[in-house]
Amino acid sequence: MDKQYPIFNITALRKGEKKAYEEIYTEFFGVLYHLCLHYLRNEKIAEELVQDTFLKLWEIRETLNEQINIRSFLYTITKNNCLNHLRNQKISLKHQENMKYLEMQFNYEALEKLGNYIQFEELRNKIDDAISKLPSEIIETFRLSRFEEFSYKEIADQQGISIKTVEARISRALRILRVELKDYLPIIYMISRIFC
Amino acid sequence: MSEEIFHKILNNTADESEKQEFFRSIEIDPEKKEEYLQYKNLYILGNLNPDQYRKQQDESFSNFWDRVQSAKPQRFIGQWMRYAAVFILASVLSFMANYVLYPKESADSGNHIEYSSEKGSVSTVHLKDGSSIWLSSGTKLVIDKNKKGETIARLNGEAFFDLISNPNRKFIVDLGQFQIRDIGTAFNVRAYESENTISTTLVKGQIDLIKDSGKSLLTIKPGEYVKYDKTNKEIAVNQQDPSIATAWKDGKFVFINQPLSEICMELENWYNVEIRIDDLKLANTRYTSVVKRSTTIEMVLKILSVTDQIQYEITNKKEGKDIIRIRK
Repeated sequence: MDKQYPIFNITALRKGEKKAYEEIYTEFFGVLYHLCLHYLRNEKIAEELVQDTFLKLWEIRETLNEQINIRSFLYTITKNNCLNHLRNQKISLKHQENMKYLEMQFNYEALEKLGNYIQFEELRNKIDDAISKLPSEIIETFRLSRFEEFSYKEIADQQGISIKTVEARISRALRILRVELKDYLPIIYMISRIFC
Repeated sequence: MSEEIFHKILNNTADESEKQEFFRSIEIDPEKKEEYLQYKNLYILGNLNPDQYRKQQDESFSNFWDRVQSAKPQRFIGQWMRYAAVFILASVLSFMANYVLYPKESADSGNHIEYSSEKGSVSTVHLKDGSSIWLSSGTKLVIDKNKKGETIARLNGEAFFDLISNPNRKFIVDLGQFQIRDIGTAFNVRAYESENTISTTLVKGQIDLIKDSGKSLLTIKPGEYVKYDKTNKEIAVNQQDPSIATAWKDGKFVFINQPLSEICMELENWYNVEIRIDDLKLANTRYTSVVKRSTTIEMVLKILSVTDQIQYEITNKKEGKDIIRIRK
């Protein structure tokens, strides 16, 4: 299932036209912000890092040509900046022996696993595909949980099921996805274990 | 491991003790950890719905647009002191270090490893025991084991050592005139062959300065900044905030009341350019500044030029380094 990507107007980007940057923002901000937000767990820093990425694009706008892969450029810079940020945070947290240090360490490792832009996009498409194949009752719960505003409690209320059921459905969804996506997730340990 | 905790970890509702239990348990179990990392990515990507950030997007874009439109040099920071111009580039691009490493293991000895970091980038070296070493722009580091089993590091450039305490391992930084001996510490060493001084700043732990004769010179405590002058062979110990010496590691230049000549040396090294100052008085004028390293040299010069009526001229060379002339 190939997505149709909008074609960016390179000439307008080079000239620094507002509309062209607005389009690029619309296309990418959400994805990049989501990644930063979830790996860094800080809204302000996530916003800063994503904005920095676009500023970097602005800075090099005159060197843009038809060949340059803008998507890959934006993704790579954001990911590297996130990794750098996590690394720096890890260093400062290490000395405080804070539990956050381990959390950041794992976030760092997880983010590293996302690979380059092509791998990331491939995984993203596969996940979308796999989600659409989930059993219908699970799909509804899972889709609701895809909106951050809905906590498990809210989903439970809305669907008239218990929080336990929400959890169970989401676990099942994740498990199905993991099996479905086994070729796309970097699995080092082949023996699959259930997480409970 | 209860499934409930696992969910709480994924959707970030676990409390501190639950997190502690969970992270400690996966830390010691690589298989479980691998599984967690996969689920984490799956959860994050599975929850990806870009449209939910429309509000943040609009705010961010309008902010972005304001910034790029007002990027022309401005007189934006007051508080001028006669000798110190404070220019803080708060709104600059984020640090993008190229973590490029070039380990060259020589064939004759398994204990001899060379690392280097190119101009304009910061590299990190991770040793097997968990210690890390950051290499600043244009730095070369050679690590050897001597007959006594001590690890000897030779440095041309600047490096930050974050060493794991290990009583069985002796780690020595050999600086020619003297050595730094360490047992589990974090410290910065600046020893460019091209510079007249060698300096070290201790962040934590303790390090000993040893003469090449083996005689202990002095013990350095955290927060102390030791500078050695190669010409008159004098050692000076001062107090300094360690974050200043290690700012390069976090992608910043920090200059505190430093002459323009020294600042330019730093800029030359990072941007790989040659800077000529046509005025001795100007070369000795002191500045205080914090600049992110990811900004362009042009931007740094632009800021200097608005802050202190400095003129600059960049000559792009086809071969060799670009030359920048600075004058009043």
